[in-house]
Amino acid sequence: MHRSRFLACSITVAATSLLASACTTGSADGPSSSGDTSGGTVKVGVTSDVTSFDPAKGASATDYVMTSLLYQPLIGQDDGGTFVAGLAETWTSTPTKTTLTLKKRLTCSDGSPLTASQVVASLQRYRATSAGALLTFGAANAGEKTTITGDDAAGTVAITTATPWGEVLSGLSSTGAGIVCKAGLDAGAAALAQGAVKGAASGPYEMATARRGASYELRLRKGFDAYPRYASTPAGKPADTLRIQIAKNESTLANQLQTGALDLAPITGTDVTRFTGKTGYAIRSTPFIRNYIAFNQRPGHPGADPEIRKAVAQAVSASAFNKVFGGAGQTMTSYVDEKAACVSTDTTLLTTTDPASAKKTLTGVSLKLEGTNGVAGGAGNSYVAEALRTAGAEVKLTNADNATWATDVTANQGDWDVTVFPLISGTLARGGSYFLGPEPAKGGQNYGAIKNTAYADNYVAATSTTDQGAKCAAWQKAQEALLKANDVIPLATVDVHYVARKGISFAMPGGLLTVSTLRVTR
Amino acid sequence: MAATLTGKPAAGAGRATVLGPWGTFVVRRLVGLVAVAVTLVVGTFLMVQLIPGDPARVVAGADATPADVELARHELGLDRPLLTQFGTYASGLLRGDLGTAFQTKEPVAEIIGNRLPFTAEIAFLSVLAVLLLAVPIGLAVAARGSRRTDGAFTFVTGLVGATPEYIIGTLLVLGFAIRLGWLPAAGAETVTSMVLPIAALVLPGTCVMARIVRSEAAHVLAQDYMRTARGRRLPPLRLYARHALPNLLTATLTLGGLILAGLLGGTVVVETVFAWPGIGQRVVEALLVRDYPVIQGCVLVLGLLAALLNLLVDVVLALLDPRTLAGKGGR
Repeated sequence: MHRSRFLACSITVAATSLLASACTTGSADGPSSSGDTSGGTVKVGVTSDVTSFDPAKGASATDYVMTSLLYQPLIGQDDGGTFVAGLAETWTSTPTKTTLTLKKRLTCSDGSPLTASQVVASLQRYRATSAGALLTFGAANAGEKTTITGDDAAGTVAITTATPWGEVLSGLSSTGAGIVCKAGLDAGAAALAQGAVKGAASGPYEMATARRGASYELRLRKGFDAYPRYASTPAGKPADTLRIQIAKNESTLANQLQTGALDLAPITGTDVTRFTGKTGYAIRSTPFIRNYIAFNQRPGHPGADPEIRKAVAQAVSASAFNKVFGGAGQTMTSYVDEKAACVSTDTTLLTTTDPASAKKTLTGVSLKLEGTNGVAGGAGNSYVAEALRTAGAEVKLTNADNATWATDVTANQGDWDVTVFPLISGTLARGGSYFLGPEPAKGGQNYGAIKNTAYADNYVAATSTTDQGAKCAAWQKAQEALLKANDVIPLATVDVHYVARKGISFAMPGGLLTVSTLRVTR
Repeated sequence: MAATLTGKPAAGAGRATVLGPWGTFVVRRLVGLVAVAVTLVVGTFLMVQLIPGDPARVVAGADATPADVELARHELGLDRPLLTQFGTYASGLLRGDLGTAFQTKEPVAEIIGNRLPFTAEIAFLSVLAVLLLAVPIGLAVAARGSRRTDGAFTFVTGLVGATPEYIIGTLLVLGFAIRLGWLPAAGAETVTSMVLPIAALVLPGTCVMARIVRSEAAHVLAQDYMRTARGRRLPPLRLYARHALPNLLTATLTLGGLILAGLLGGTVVVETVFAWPGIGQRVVEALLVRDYPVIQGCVLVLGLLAALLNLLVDVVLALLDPRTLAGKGGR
């Protein structure tokens, strides 16, 4: 096929030579067929290829898009942290036991019934292979300390943890906990990672064609009706075919949106202005990265001194940081954004910007600032460096790529004092796991070696209860302890703008794009 | 040949006599190819180790605990001594196994097999178009010999030749995809998708090549034999095609080979602008996530391709003009 295409394209050399001026046929794709009365084909742009088709191993935004369509979690999490039905119809949860009742007549993509036993096997695999499982079941309940059992006749799955943990439902709603059918479990991890295994899908779509690095086509499963019941799921029909197309460059995505080659695409940069206020397009924005300043608090580093941390907080301005990215984000009042459940919005907990006071402490202080250049080439890091220099500090700025930054800072293998942390996760529990427990060298994630016992105690209290009121009260105390100590200095979010052509609607429960809610409304 | 001329055989001259100029040329180039391959294998293996950042951490993911990272390191074989890792890599190569991608778990050979045809497609067609356009344009400008034409030619080719491909690509998209809607803005879904990426490569390439052809042609056209040919009132097509063109081929083909070798590994910008799923983009992705096997495999294959292309150009040149053998190891 490729050869014939090559030969056929020899003819296009002539057209190329004439700058294609004679070509009048245009794109064969033309405008999307999303306006059909059926679901039609909807083309969704993404900025990276899939790194793993295994839901338990997903790492990139595209992984989540793809696996969320193929593997349905038991429940979903809606706005405000409420849970909605997924593959499970009902559930009960206490700090030590969660029981879920599956919907009737669930099937896998090969038509075989999806039983409670298969769900148990999938969750056991998730528990054993996914890094995210630690937060689903709790660090103290790792391995066999979490028991997962099922009853095929009753259609129930029970999860019991050895110690209280109140985040099980939240964890089960994550994409990583998507249920893999027996065919996928039998195929093994390598096969699951490399591509969609036939019959493995439990979600609304199954893989039709895959062209790695270019595009994937997913076909709607006939008769699938276990969609998560988010309150804001739009009316309309699901797309019969979803084509996921890869373009690394956001300007390219914007070009494709403008020419009708795409129906929906994520844009984080200034290309979004090409669609702002234009008829025929709808834009929905949500935080993509939550930026905050954190310190290396090990002895000998400036960040070990609370006064230095306070002075750094006085030197920088969250609103100025936001302007670095065009002012399109939101200034933050905690280490996650305002859409997160139980987030503190109390601005009195934040240290007020006061460069003059900062100068008294920071003059002559040497700071090694390391950040990632993954967002706008590290422009935010440059702002922080300049703000600290203005406050008298001697700053050595390192704008590293993601891999280097992660090794140097989150694994603490580099020489750093201050970092601008780009948090992807939007939950207090996941984002907060970096501020307590052992350091990386001792098997933990506390890269800055923070020792804030008030935070740690309240983190445990918040994550050990399923009572929402008690949970939020504990989270408020935890955030207060962290912010007052300037262990974390909130900055601003960098938002992703989902631009959709007319006729395409989707829900963003909890601020997350959920492609399975995409509906054709024309 | 050296022995015949001096009467004092130099070292290796006996073998040269036995093999003949072509045999010596081929043997030397094959030895050179092996040397290039060995250098690439060792060089790329050592090079990736120098890149800062931990591939195991990237593979383990953002939520990974240090234990997860160590497990990933063990699974990737990165906890073994460097020499052992090299031994595994080299023995795999001898079996034709380029390894498995750290991130996607795909066989590297499969990645190259999927991606290289896309890059090769636009690279070959671009070079073909460059040759088809640049040679007649350069020759025509030289033959015209007008100062005004020369000035305009120099200005236009200088301007376009110096314009970065991403700017040309963006302008082409703006004009032909967004404004006129004639061609796809990006992607590789249809045959027409490749027109704009090729145009973005052809325009600057043609300008650079046409300038060289023009310069070479001006030199050739001033030669005595061309004046004689013109004096015989040969038809222009025969004059230029039979007498001028063969003498332009050395520079043209050499440059064409270099452009093609460069395009095979260096169309990253154009691939990015046009979402063309070629190998250049894949190498950059692999570099960013420290995917050692993909980097090593792609660099090795692209390096060998470049060496083979150079060899091919030399063979073609030697066939066209056997005198060139003397300068390419065929003594």
